[in-house]
Amino acid sequence: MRREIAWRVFADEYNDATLEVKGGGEKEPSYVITPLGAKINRVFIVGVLTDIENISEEGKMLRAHVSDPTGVFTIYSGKYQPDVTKKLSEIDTPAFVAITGKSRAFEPEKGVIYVSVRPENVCEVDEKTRNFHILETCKHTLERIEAMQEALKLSQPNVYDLQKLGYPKELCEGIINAIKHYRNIDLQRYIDLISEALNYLIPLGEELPVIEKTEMIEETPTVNEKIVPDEIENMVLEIIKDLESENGVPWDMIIEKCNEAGINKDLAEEALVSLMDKGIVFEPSLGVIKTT
Amino acid sequence: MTSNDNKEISSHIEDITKALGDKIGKEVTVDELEKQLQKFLEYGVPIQQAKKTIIRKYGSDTSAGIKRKLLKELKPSESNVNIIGRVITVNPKEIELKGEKKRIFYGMIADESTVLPFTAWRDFNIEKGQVIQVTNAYTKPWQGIPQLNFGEYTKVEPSKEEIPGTQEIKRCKVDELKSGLGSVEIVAKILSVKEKEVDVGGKKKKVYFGIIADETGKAQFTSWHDFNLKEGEVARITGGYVKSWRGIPQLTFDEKCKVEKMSSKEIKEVNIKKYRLWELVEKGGALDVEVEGNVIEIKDGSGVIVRCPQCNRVLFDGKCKIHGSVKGIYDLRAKIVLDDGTGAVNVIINRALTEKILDKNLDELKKLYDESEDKVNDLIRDTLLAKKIKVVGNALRNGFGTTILARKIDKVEIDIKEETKRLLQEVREVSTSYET
Repeated sequence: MRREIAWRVFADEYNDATLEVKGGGEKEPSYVITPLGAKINRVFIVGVLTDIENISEEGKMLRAHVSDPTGVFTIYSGKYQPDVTKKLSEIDTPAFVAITGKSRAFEPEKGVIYVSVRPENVCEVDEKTRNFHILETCKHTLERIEAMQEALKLSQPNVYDLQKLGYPKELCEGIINAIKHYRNIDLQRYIDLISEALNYLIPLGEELPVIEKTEMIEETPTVNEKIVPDEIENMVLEIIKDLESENGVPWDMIIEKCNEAGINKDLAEEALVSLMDKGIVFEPSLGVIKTT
Repeated sequence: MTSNDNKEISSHIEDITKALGDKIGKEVTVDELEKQLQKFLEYGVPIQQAKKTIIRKYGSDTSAGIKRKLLKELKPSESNVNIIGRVITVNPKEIELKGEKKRIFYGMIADESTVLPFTAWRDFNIEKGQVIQVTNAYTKPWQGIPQLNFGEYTKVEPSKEEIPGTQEIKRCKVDELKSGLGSVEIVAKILSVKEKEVDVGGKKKKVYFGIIADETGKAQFTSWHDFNLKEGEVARITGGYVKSWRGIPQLTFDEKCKVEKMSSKEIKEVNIKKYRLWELVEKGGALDVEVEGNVIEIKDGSGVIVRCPQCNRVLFDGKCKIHGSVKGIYDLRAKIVLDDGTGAVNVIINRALTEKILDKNLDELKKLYDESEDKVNDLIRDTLLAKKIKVVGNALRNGFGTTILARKIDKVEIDIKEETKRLLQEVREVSTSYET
């Protein structure tokens, strides 16, 4: 049995994924395929743990966010990972963390996919390790871009010919999957992404901007904790009622609608948690909200 | 596959259909021919050989009506297997089966696709070097590859077929040696050589074994003949074949092969080969490799362990699986998963290296362990988890993938500022090449 690779990927590329390849048999692994052809069953990420919250009443399900220079990974850790969940809950945010985890995809409706990570291992690291990881991720992303360019040059892109150019088999398979699924992959966007990540490392030795950023994220919910007015909760509740079907409505869809209505993500999430605490809404399945 | 390639293939298919004449449509369809030809090409069989093989398969009277398989196509549990191959080695062996003494034969057989081990459960008069046609054999899994078995209902006949590729000499470097290659020629330095006596079919025989190397890496060798090889010598070895032991390639040769001593200048340097992990995993194993990656998991069984003084097994609750309650001996190790984003391997780190990494000796760690088992494991986690390290050691393949027994471990450090600048430059280049 071959062990699944832990891919190095930026949050932005991961969150862009809209393709999940499900394993056929019971023990066959599933993969999230990113637009650059990373064929992800497992990831290794290092970034800033910005917030952790309980999303189940018994506190057995945690949602956390890990930020990198390009975006944010959503982490769900539950009762099936008791050690990791415990470890995660003990970390004071913000903190630099390294997480190995399994890719998860949630597809509330056809074509809409929300990806997250279920951690297998969590540990705190130092800033140097995080910076090193950004560089490693840049290199891996660059290799995917180059492999994608080569694949697109082939008259009929296929795994066999791509492998002959010396790229790892898994990557070749992912790239061919990606080419079939994603239309007009915008490579320049990902090249810019790498530049962005690298520029982030330039002001070394100075106070890193990430610290300010995470403090802000950290502060907002604590400030708002006491002052989420009933109005906002009511607005959020209306939005949920408006959107929900028999099976409820995906968390992210609510946040999106709230955003359109002028309620920012933190306020909206706060209101959702508060509504859950009051028992007005509940989470029938992971990432889905339903009124009681 | 480009349209040009397609055109080329169809012209080859035409050749084959011409040669087979009226057999087309009866014994095989053009579609099937094309599929088979594609398969040969995928395995890297040269086009002329592939064509010959296909024509022979359907055109030869002896094999008419029997579907011959390439050795590479065989799965580990298959019955009714029909193959043609050249016997590379064959040796008798006395075994006891249900209390009765039995003489069986084992060896290696090759065709144009690969080399596989075989066991013949009775005497088929198989001779070394002979091409045989085998009907109704079966396979069993053996160390992750199929092993051919010739049993009660198997027919083994000498064949006049020529098996392309099994006699042509292939020149290669040490890192190109892989299980399944027959008739290789290699120029390498003998890094070590030892001899031992083994029992071959009741007769005592001397075998010489050791390590060869060139600038691309190291491999093991076994010689069944005394070529008077000495440590430090450089030799050209022609006609050997490659099998593997736990994924480590082993060049095997005997009195029928040619061994010439060369000037030691032929091999200027002997290097340790650096692998990206996907390459190593694909290869299975290798002798003395260097890899880099992040430690993404510390496995159970790491830390201070207690071993049985008699059999060295790890004790559970103070008991050995075989010897029961014993006074154990303390030991230390770390078992980790190393991953570089392209592949993953297990690494076993022995006591001395673990002591060095943790900067504590076993006695100090034992004290921690007596306070709480977790303390040592926490220390290992804090020291290693998520860190990037460089490992040198032998890589072995087993049922759980590839495992490296670490001989050397170093932390990988880089100058982040310099590397950032270098990468920014590289990104700019990719960016411009993309725009044009």
